Amino acid sequence: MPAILLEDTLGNDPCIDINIVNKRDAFSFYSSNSNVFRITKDGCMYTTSGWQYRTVTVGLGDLAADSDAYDYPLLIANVPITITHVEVGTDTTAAANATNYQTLGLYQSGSSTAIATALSTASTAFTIHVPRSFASISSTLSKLAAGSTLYLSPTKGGTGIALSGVVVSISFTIDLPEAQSGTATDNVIRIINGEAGSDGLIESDHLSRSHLRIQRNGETTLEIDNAGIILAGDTYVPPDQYYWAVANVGTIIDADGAAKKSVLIKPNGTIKVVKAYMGVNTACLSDDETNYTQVLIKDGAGKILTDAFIHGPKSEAAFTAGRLYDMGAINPNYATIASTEQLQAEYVCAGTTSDVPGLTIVIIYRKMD
Amino acid sequence: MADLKLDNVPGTGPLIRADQGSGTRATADFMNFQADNTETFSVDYQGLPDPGGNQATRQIVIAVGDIAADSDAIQNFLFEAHGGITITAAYLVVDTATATGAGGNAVTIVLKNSNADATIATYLTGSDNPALAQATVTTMGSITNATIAAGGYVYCTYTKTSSGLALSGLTFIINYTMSS
Repeated sequence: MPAILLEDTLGNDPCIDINIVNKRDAFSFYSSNSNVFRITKDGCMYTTSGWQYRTVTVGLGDLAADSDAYDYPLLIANVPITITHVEVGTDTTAAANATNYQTLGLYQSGSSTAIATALSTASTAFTIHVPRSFASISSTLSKLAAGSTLYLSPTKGGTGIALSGVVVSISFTIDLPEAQSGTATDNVIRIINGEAGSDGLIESDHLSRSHLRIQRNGETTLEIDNAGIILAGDTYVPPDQYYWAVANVGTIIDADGAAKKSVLIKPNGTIKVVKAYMGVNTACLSDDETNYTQVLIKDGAGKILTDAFIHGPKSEAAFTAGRLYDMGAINPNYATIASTEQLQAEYVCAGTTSDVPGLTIVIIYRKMD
Repeated sequence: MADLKLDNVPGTGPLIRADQGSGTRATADFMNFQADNTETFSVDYQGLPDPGGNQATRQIVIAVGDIAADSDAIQNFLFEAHGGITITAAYLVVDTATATGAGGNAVTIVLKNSNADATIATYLTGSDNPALAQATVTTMGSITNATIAAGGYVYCTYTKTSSGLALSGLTFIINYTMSS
């Protein structure tokens, strides 16, 4: 039997309705004395399970032996995040060579100090498709503030060594705002080793009403509706409700204008796009009023969510290698993408444009159903 | 009216705390929400949420770039899992239409599980012209060996038929759920 069973009760309000003014959490669950899950006053879900991780992958393509000029943007934070794991793999074996080698450094835009011990081919090979992990990730430098970019900076040793088909896999957690969490033991309800059985400890079963609402000083931060959908409040979105998609769409050349279409995401449910960023692996100026590239983020029907320019015109921003830049406000009329749709990048090349080197696009979205 | 309403209760500890240890209760859900006797949301004993709708499924997009017609020698690392996952669907897409497959030139793309190098999904390009249309997300078909343990990873292989097929801006889209 559940310890708390709320079944087919009357009413339309959320079955469990919690408004917290003090500094405390709504729920806290322990397994064998280890805290494995909490729902905070801010509507965030703390968990020690794999749910806490977001994982994105960035394909960098082939890395030249002389790689010193490149910085590859990997990821940008729109809320504070912490990098937990980064792996790199190549599509062809690259032998160790103590004289001519490649060193891959991992950095964030907020510091010139490396986040982790660099990966080097001086003494360790890359074996085809087998990932190598960055070790000794700094507990402080791994924290990216909102607006910070994670990037990979290669450096050749000797004459370097080319790396073929480089792919970087990044896992991170979203920093939960814990300032309003309390640690005291003055619970309203505490259940210790409920009656033996396989039922949930706390159960709610209803035909239509929401199961749970969390409010912070009277403002809704989280709701779990009858269908089990995790919802944000009307005016506040818990940071753990954001998701990322990252694609390095390669180097965009003049001929790609009005030709190439790079699919960025094909959602499995309805999503709402909240931000789009783009960056390059080599610096690009904004000094040309005639010859430049416009990057458009479109849905499958051709509606433009946002766009940005590169290599000009002068009113636009210049691009530093290894940084990601906000592409501007998302058109709210087209921000919602159903599972039958997709999001893609398209290109308009005005005049005779210079190459856009290693264009990387980051989409941040929320899951709506 | 709510069934359980806690409004501005004094104190600083979690309002509702549950502790599980040994016995049959050890692996039961902490929280289990249902709609007409069908589970729609739960938090299991590991603290793993399982929401309703499409929210339990995550998606990873992996743009590996241009793949030459003869790419039999390369194998792309795609991503590593940090928490047990189960792959539920895999798709691929190209940014430019390929050449025709009518003459028999094709490529077989296989997603592999690092656990025993088992096959997760296999896709053989067809005989259409083009073999793969631009920006058309295409399913890789049925999924096998879908479970990836924490620390396991996914990679892919390419095998040409006849002269093979060049792929521009190849991107994989992989959906998965979490098991731990």
